[in-house]
Parts: sequence; C-alpha cells; structure tokens
Amino acid sequence: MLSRTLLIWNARYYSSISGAKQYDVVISGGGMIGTTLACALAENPTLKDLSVLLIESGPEKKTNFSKALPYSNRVSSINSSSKDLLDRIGAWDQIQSTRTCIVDTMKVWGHSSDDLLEFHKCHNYQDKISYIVENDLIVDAVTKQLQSSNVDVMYGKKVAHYELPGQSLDKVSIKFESGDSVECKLLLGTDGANSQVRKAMNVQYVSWDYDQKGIVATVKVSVPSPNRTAWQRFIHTGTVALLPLSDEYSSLVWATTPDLAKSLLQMTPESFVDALNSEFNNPASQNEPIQAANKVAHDVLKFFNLSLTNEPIIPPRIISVEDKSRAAFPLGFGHSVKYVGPSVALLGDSAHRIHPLAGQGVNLGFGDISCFVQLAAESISNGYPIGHPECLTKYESSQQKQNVPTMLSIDLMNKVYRSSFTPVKILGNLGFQLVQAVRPIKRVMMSRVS
Amino acid sequence: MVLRMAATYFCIISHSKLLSNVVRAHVVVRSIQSSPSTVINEEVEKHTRLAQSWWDPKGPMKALHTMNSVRIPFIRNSLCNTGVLNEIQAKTTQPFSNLKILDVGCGGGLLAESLARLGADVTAIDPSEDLIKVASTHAQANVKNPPHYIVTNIEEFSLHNKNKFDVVVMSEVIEHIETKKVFLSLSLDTLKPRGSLIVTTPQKTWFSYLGTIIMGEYVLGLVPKGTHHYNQFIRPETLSSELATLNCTTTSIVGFHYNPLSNHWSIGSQPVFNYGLHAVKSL
Repeated sequence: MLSRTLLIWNARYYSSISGAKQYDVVISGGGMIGTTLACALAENPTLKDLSVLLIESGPEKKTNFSKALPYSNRVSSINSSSKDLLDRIGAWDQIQSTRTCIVDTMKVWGHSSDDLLEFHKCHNYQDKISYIVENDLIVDAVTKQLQSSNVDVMYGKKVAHYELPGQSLDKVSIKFESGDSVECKLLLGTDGANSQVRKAMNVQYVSWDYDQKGIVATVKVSVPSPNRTAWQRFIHTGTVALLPLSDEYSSLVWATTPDLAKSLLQMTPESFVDALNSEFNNPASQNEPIQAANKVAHDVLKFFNLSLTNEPIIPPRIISVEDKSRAAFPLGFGHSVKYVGPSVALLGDSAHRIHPLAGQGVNLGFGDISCFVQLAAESISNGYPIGHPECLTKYESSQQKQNVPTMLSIDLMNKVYRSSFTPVKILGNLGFQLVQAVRPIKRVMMSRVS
Repeated sequence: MVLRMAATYFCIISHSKLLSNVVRAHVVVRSIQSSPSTVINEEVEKHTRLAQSWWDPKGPMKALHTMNSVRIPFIRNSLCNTGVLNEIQAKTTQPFSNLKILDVGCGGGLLAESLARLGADVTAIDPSEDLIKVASTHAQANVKNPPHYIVTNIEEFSLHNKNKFDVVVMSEVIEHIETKKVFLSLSLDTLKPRGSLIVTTPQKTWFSYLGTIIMGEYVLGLVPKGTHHYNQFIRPETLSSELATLNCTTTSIVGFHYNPLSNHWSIGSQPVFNYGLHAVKSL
C-alpha cells in the first residue's frame, strides 16, 4: 500500500520532467479579463514570483489607441472597485488621461414618468456612479501593462485539448494544435462565454437565450453640458440605454427583438435616429389597471412621506448616428454551477454571462479577479502551494454569493419589463416606485451598480 | 447560537477523528518497536491507509489541511508581536527565512511543509516511521527546501539538540500526551533563550466533552469508544501556568473556530473550541 502511495507521488514528481514547459499558472484567454488577471497576478507582491503564461488564440494586439480615433461602439461601465483594480495594475492612468466619461446620475424609467428611478451621486455621497470606458481602451492599457510585466504570452496559439487532473494539486496539461504542450499547477479559464476550459471541466452550465439582440452604436446627442447622465428605459420590446462618452457623444446599447434589430441595422441613419428618438420619447401603451396601481402606490408612498421625483423626464435627443458604428450581438444568460475544479478556476464570462442592460458584465469579471488574486495571495502567504483547494473553494463560494443575486435580479428586471401579462407589469412598476422612494433599497442597488 | 453549537459538535467530532488516527499512528510505532505480533500487520495496514490519505485535501485530514489558514497567520503574528519578525519581512513570500523551527509531532508534515515553503529551516520529528516517510516523500516533490524529517521522540531528540531552535511548534499534539509537563519541559530544552513556543490544541470545555466523547464515540460511533480521554485535554490557563513553572511566559492566546460545512477556519479572541498559545522562553 505504502509503495503504491510512493509510486503515485513519484509519478507526480516525474511528470514534470516530461519535456513540456512548466508554469505555475496558465491563463487561457487574453481578452480584457485574462489580460487584467495576468497583470494583477504579476503586480501582487505575494504572487509576483509565480511563473505565469497567458494564452490567446487571436493575434497579438497592437497598442496604438489614441484620442484621435473615433469612439468605439463597445463600452463598459466601470464601477469604483473595477477602477481600483485597473489603478492597482497601473492601467488607470492611461485610461483616464486618454478618455473616459464620468457618470454622476443614472435615470432609469419604464412606461411612464411615474416609474422614474433616479440614482444620483448625492444619494450615497459618492462623487460618481461609474466611468464609461471603451473596451478597446481598457484592452490597450492593460496590454501595455502586460508587456512590461514578467508574464509570458503566447499569441495565435490554439488549444487542442485540456487535460484536467482528477485530484487536487495534480498538474494540468495543455496540448496545442501545433503539437507542443505546457503543464501548469493551476489553469485559469478566462476564455469567454463559450469557454473551452469550462467544457473540459465538464460542469453543469445553466443558460438561456433571451430571444433578443443587442444593438450598439455611437450617437451624437444634444444634452445639457456636461453630459454625465446614463439613461435607460425599459419597454416591452426590451431596453434602450445611452451611456455618456463626451459632451457630444453617447454610446447606445439597445436590446430588442431579433426582427426589429435586423431592420434597425439595415435602415438609413436618419430613420435609425428617428426610431431611437421615438423609443425614448413615445409614451408606451398604458392600460388602466397599471395606471390605477401606480396611483395607489403613489398615494401609499406619499402617506409614508416617501416622495417620488415628480420632475418630468426630458430624455436626451439624438442628433445622428456615427458612420459604421451600428452592430448587433446576441444576448443570453449563462451561469456555471461550479467555478472551480481540481487545479482549475473560471473567471469572468466563462463562469457567468449576463444581459448587458445594467453594464455589469465586466464589473462582475473584474470582481472575480480582485477576489481571486486576494485569496490566492492569502493562501500563498499561509504556506499553501498555488492552486490549493482551500483557496479555490473560498473563491467559488465568495464570488457565487456575489454574482448570483446580481445576475438574477438583472434577469428578473429584463423579464418583468418584457412581460405582457398585466399583473407582472404592475409588480414591475410598483417595484420601481418602491426602489425610488425607499432609500435603503436604493442604496443596496447602488452598491451593486457602483 | 444553535448553529454555532452544532458547528462545535461537528468541529469536535471531526477533530476527534483526526485524533484517533494520530493516536493509532503512535500506538503502531510503539508496537513495532517493542515486539512483532499478529496485531501489528493489521495496525500497519490501517496506518498505511491513513498515511496514503494524509495529503488528500478531501480525505480524513481535511480539517488539518485548511487549519494552516489560521495557524500560519497565528505563528506569523505571534513572531511579529514579540519582534522576532519585522513587519516588512512578515509580508514577504519568505517571512520565516533565517528561522530554525522545530515541529514536534509533525505527522504527515502538513504544517512543517508549509513552514518550509515560507522560508523556514524546519526540523520535524514524529515517532511514526511511516508518517515520516510520507512526509518526506511529499516534501521532496513539492518544496524547494524540504524539512529535515526525523523518526524520533522528544526524549531522544532533546538530548542532543539543546538551545537550538528559534521556534518550537506543537500543533494538535499535546492533547495526546499524558505527562505533559515532562513533554513541555523537554521541548523547551531545544528552544533558544527568548525563543517562541507555539501550541495549538482543543479547548477543554463541556462542549468538547459532549462533542468528542458523547457524540463522537457513543452516539455517532465515529471513533472507537475510549479513544479520547477528556482529562487529557488542557485549558489554556492551565497550560499557561504549567509553562510559567517551566520559566516560559505566555504572550497570547487566540481561539480557532472551525466550520465543518465549509471546511474553513477563522480566528477569534475567545478560545471556545480550539486555541493557539504563544509563549516565550525566559533567559
């Protein structure tokens, strides 16, 4: 028996002499999350001695982002913890000095102005709710940090097969299509919603499509300066949101039915702008029960001295859409039941994919990174080897506790507002009013958003 | 409160499982050393099974695996408090470099290996030959400066290693020792003057009596009846006063709490279930 034990350990030991290059950590997927994760590991004083490899199937990214470029149509709403993470890895300075836009007010409304939900900086004594940053700029800034770190990077490298161990602390072997391979003590999957790492883990993945398409575009707006308000309207066909980029420009995220999305992409810029303006301005079809319920709710809230903002909403007016900035992408929800396995962990979209309506996707991913790096550093400073299940299980339980409620509430918001069933609609409206009127609930929501 | 009590029971039950294994391990070696008999093979096999699962993070030793997340910080903080480590060194990846540490009753080496990984020059002793074999094989493959593992007991070891170590660690060991004072005294002999003694052990409360002996042995039958002797558990104040008579001053006592559902440990101020004690040997 004992000799068998020894044999197992010997095998484990000698496997490192198999010729494959050895790493402590391999990160699979060099997008925004993977690159930031690599920088965060390299920057952490406790983890900086680890040997880290980043694998990206695409070609090397050129770092040539400049202010002269037109605004890109894919943007993220960066909350304060994500900003802190980018600051820690040294990427924030470049982002801020290039171009970002502060959001200090968020106006969210539904069918009528009674539904207005206004998040303002003074409500939780914060200067800003979030920053709107182009994804390309984030990637550019973090890639620059990566280049000056001691992380090895392989571009254009396609993985043929991940060989995950059955037991904790055993090595992961990664075989490439080019025939060579590497081995590591910990594999981190940051390879997006279609994660191959997750597939290799063979974990249950809960997912559904929304039967919606997301339309993005850069639009010119006419708003009072400074343009620091994020607008979002929930209507039965979906949601439409405008995120400020500058005093002139805003970024559009419009989730709608696939048919409408198709025609929106094809129509002339003028008709697109008209359609967009009417989406923001048109009073949505009201029905009596909803109006009645709203009125009752209004009276009840008044009775308890909880006031609603009664300012009429003046939505932003869209002047024009930038050339070639319109694009569409499918929307879906996905959540991996397990984030970790022996010597492997998932971060970002590979673990969870959400509806972009709240702009929270990237923040959840950055939250995963901060949490993982902190726990890994703690674990190493407690004498554990990298990839110890003590750290991995803590990461999983902490992030699932954090992510699942956010994901489900966003999913619920989307479903409630698209519902054509009157009681559900009423509940949705009441929910809005309650959140707007009751400060503690709003504060909880704000803490999630920012 | 109910939850916490339930957690306590589980804590002590799982702990008692560990203890019984350790006790068996010690028994085995003694019988090997005294006279070979038919009983031995059976015991050796049991022991080997245990040795095999010692390093399995999900095996019977799982609570000891995760316990490093509280006992290492406790050791580091204790050494910082008494100025053995400075704050800057404590935050590096090798906080224990330049420290000679003795791990008394190291078992399969779960703590010793982590101490070595953090830079310490570790000597680890245990009377069980099989466990030392497991510990040293594992360390060879997993750590750059493996601990020096020696099959011996403290009586033998202390004879030739007086005033040699900066730190002596006895983690989850003293509750198995009947003649505690002799054991402590011999261990302290190996410590340099002003050296640090670190002890972790279960608290002696009615919680542990109910959990370990009533629940663990009689109700749930997790361990054989008679494995534990409640009167061998020691309260921190008793341990502290024993140490005082051995010219050793207690500087801190903290509580370790175990959550059996998540298999995570946390540090608290109250020594309710398990505790860590740090004492310094006088000049």
